Amino acid sequence: MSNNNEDFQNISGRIIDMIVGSTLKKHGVKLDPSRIDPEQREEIKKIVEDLRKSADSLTKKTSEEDNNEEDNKDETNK
Amino acid sequence: MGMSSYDKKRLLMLERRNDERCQDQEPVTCEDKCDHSCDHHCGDHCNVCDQGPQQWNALDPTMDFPFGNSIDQDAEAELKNVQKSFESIVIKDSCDVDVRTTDTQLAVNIQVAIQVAIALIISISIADSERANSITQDIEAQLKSAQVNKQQTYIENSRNVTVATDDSDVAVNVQVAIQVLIALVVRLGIL
Repeated sequence: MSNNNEDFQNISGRIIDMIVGSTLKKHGVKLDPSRIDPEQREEIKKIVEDLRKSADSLTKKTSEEDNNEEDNKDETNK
Repeated sequence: MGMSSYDKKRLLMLERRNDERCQDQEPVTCEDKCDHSCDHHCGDHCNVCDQGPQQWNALDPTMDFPFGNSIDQDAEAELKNVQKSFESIVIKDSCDVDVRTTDTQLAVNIQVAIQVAIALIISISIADSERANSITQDIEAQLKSAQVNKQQTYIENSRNVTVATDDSDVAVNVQVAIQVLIALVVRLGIL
């Protein structure tokens, strides 16, 4: 089940990457890494990591709640 | 279709008003005031002649639609991520009821933060700010999603009940937004 979910994550990630790429192409623009200085680069990296953690915790929280409920049910059945 | 008595009265009143006006003033034609020809008399409104503000009349084909013929949405096209969660929990004649719901507000806050980060990265890495704006709008518009989540729970005459409701839709949207952000960051070689 988890494997399927990971596969799906990969596919949706690729699709979104393609959407972003095609949008940039449509506008005839390329993202220019040289416009970002090293300080900003570090800051952006931290921000993205933090946001990713927050987003992951949100999805994990919901799935953990589900698992806990299932565990509790199993225990009561035993 | 016959006229109702109300309509007749109204028509009579209007005619009387026009008659009174005609007695007061000399009949004027619009040709006196401007170069187009029309049949307006007795100080009636002429759309072209009258410079003052007028109320828009839907039945008058000569009047321009207040918003113009085309609505220019481009400037205001922004991310329309419609997420509505309607959750109602009714507990009636019950005791020892434990209710747990997901914090939708937290998810929405995270999503907004991600969207702002996307806009920030695009605006930093593209010199032309107008173009950066339109790219941001474009990317976000393609990912717009409408989700309406309705949950209704009704508990009546119960004891020792635990209710846990989840709003997984919001979590999915957050995941999509973070993937866009990561796609951008990877392109910039930051991650």
